[in-house]
Amino acid sequence: MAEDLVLDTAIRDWVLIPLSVVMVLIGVLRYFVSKLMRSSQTPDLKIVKEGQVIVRARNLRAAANFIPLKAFRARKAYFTNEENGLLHVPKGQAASNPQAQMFSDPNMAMDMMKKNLSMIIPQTLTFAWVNFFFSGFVAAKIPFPLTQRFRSMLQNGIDLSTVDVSYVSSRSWYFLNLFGLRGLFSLILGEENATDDTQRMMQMSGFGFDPSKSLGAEKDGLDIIQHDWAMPKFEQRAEAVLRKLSRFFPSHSSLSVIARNAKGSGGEEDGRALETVLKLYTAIKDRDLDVLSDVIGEECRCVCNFVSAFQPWEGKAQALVFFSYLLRKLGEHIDFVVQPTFHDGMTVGVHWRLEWKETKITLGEGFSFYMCHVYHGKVLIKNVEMFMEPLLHIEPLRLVSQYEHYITFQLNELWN
Amino acid sequence: MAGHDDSSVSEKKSNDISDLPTFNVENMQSNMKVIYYSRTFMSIIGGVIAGVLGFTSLMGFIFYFLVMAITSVGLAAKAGFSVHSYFDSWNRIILDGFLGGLMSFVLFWTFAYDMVHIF
Repeated sequence: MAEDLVLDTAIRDWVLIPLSVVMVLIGVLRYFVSKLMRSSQTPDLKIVKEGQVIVRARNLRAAANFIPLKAFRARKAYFTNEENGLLHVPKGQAASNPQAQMFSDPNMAMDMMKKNLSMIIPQTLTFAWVNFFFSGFVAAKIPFPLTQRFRSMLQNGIDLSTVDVSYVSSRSWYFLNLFGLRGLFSLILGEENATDDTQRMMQMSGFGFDPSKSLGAEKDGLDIIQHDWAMPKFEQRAEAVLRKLSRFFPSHSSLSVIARNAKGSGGEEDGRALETVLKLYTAIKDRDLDVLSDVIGEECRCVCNFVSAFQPWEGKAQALVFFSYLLRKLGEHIDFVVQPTFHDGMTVGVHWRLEWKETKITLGEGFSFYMCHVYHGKVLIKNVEMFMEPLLHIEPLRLVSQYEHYITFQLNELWN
Repeated sequence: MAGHDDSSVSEKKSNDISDLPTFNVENMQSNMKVIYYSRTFMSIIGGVIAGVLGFTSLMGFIFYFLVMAITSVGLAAKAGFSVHSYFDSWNRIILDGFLGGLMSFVLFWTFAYDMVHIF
């Protein structure tokens, strides 16, 4: 019983392969035929309306937490209101709908019959054909053993009882194909294939009852739902997302010195002047007024064009006042990003940008000139000229203009 | 024609990380379809391979589960291992359609086995 039977190759050529090919072709044929035959149905307006109402109610249920409570209640009342709510089906109508529709509507009955036929006929025909032509011999060997109980099922035409159950007749090959080719059909025929009969039958039985029962079901579903407005939590969620984003942009220090852009004759003094200016900006970044006052000379002169007073500030004290107001106005979130563009001797030119710290959006741009001198061995800034590019016409950047006005106002107050 | 496209798993909008993830239904269905196609395809190929290699009985079924596991891992890798932005639970990728491909696998396994070994 354990030895392998040697089966004639003719069986392979003339039984297995043709059977499989025929079944595949019949499946494809059935698919196309059912596609052709299905096109004649015009949908009923009432059913479509009800279907759409159900879809809307379902969407409301799914997205209930994204709208405020009052809006949700209003919509819910619209649907479930006792008098004229859309989902409310008066008792009398409910029971009679499904069955009556199914049988009294000739179109639907015809449709169902057609669909059933298109499924059953090819199967029956093929089965009869297999039985007639391919019975009475061993067709294939299945690779796994089965118990004796399967013998009667699988070895129908074979009357020897000593043959291993693994050797099956062609009828079982037919059934194997029937089930196994479903997967293949779903691959080659795309999503919609009419060959899956079990699924079809389930759809058939569910269809007639859809309209009125599901209305009631949706209504109950809407009544049950608890509303929990998700909006207040969204700020935290937005914060979490922004944090994650900012982690991805490596936070470059706002004093990225791009050396290649700084032209100028070398020399140690240049380095020191540049260093001093950068120290100034570091102090601004760190909001450190002490370091700031370290780098500003006693007779420092400050001019900037974004303060409409256009008076220069003379002297360290005034410069410090200016800077401290600037720092306060900048607050926590705006930073200078500085790029030295020019330094020659004791003069340093700097191109700067104001940026929102977290997301690196540029709020303003400008240019500053610094002249330094050496005093008691330290390099101090003696002249500052700042020019800011006019940005007032850009709406989001009006932010800076607010600061301008504030600075102006405060400084005016200070001097007068 | 052939809807089988292994290489596209579409992203879903999940509107709330913490509490109620709501998913875009169409995208989710499309993702499920991709899983289904992938599994079917792999089970067919697996069946042919098992038949050619001559696996019998238990070995064959073990091979089937192996192929399914490989498919799951492949799908997870395709989703970039952040399963929650494409599906609503791990079970979808791992278990869904596990047994659906069994019949196709057995069919092609039998077919290939017979072709090769009992020709």
